[in-house]
Amino acid sequence: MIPLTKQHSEQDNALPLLGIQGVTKRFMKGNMPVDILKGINMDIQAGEFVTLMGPSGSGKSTLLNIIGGLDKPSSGSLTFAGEDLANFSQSQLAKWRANNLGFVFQNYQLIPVLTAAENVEMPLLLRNMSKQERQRRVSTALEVVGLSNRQDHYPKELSGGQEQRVSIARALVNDPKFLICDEPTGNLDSLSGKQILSILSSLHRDFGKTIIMVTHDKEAANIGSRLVRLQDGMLQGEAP
Amino acid sequence: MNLPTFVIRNALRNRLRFALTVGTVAAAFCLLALFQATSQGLMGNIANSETDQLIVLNKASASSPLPIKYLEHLSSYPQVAEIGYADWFGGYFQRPENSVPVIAVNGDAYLKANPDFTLDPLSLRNWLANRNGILVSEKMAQRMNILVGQKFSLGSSIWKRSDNEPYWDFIVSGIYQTSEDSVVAGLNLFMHYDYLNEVKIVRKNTVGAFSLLLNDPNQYAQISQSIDAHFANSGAATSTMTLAAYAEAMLSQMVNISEVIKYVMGVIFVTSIGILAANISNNLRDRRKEVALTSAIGFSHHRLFSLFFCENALLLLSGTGLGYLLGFAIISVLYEQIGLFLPAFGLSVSGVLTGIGIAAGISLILAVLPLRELYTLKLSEQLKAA
Repeated sequence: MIPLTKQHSEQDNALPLLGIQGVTKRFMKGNMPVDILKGINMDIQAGEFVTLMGPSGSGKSTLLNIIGGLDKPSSGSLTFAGEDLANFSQSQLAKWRANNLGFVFQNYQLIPVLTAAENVEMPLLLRNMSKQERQRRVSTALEVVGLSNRQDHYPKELSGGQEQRVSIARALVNDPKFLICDEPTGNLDSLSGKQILSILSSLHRDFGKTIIMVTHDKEAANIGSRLVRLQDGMLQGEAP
Repeated sequence: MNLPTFVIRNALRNRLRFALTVGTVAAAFCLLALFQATSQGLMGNIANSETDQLIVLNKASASSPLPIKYLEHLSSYPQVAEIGYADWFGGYFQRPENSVPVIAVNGDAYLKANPDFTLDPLSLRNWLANRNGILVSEKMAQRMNILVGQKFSLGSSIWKRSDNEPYWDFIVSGIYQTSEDSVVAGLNLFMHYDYLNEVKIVRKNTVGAFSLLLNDPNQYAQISQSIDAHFANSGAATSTMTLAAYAEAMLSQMVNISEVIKYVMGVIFVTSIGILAANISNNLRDRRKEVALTSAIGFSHHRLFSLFFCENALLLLSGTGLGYLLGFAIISVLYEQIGLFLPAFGLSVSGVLTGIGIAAGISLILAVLPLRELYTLKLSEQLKAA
């Protein structure tokens, strides 16, 4: 597995990869303020596979978006390897995401005019990297998700499960510090869902990838190393 | 894949929309190319002309006469190498509406003062030897199938003959050529001034204009001022200007082509922006999720702006290129007819570069439009949406 490095060690555990302190998120619904997150405190260590569960509206996707730098908290702080992200500008956040994160979305979010390989290659276009190196990384990422034989297919020529595997390959290709998965099996049949969970599990187990995954599915939630429950914008408890 | 490939894939994702947009832009720039060619035809040689040829007219109006005796003073300038003079004949063939541009000139001297016209020595001798000899421009000769030795009669809408005969007889003495870069169209026929002056009843010994050829083009301003100052208080004050300035003044009486070009460019600018803004707006609406995705995986706003700029530039430059190609094809066909009157009719490099500059400018302006959208785009909402 050429581009994927085994990332966490015992030493890494001294400082949390991600620190969430007192994070709140308030939206305005008309003139009424609605508190989606009500003071979340949580540390995530490198190499953890954290699954977030909770009913609809509990704030899990909002928390995930804040962790991924797609949204900003109303208050509280978010630190990454000890660095506070609160004051990052848009371009600094974009660069941070490019260097450290891989996203897997429920709706795959593939670009329809690009082939599977080209979709996977997208994050690498931001890096100063030779064409050969990009192709090598793309091939490896597609191999990890078992889609080497589909690299020239366009999204419309792939099944939902295959599209999600391309999406995982895209998230992996930059060898990010952690993966953010927002209900990755939500749109898939059970067989495809199991394949996706198996891939994520392997990434965590074999390559030490830090993964944060939101899910509604209890079976999916159990593959993580730590289960966090959210209820009404607050943490309810954790299961190791 | 690389970023240019990504830009091309995005631009071509809806091929019909791309083709229609490029076609519209192409039509606009084709129109611009035609106007630029017309402008070049009318003004091109004027802009590039030397300032060694002066024309002296009556200050009151170009149609008012000047006494021929002014020749004596004009000849006194050592900087003046050659002097010719000319008068309008106002010729027509059979009926006044069939006008023929005949000018009465003082023979060899006029041709020397106007080096744009060239005539072979045999034809010159032939012309000087015939009182009613007439020189025909090559373009007119070709157009009207006129041959050397041919005889014809013309009426004059300005002059009456002293013998009350209605027509003036001519014999074609030669065919002259006009240089390609001349500011004059080179369509006139030249008769002898003496023939006109002897036969006409009124305004004898007067001319319409003097033509001066200078030794040094840099002297034109000083000499013009000196001539006009000398005749300022005489019966016919003069207005002296370069031949190019005179041609431009005559042209502007018909149409202010530079103003027309400005309006056309303005219309093209606004139309292109309108069409492309609508196109970009549709594109953004269709691709909001993809924009959110590219932003999420690390594309900064600056880079997204660059991608939009390149996509717009691809659209506009394709349209501009196609428009100029079409324009060039049309101009090539039109030149067969218009080139006779406007030898400089055609596209110039600077004209094409102006068009490309306009396209690049529009691309830049249009790339700013999605910026507002980018800054207000809720990534989390777009990426969550089904």
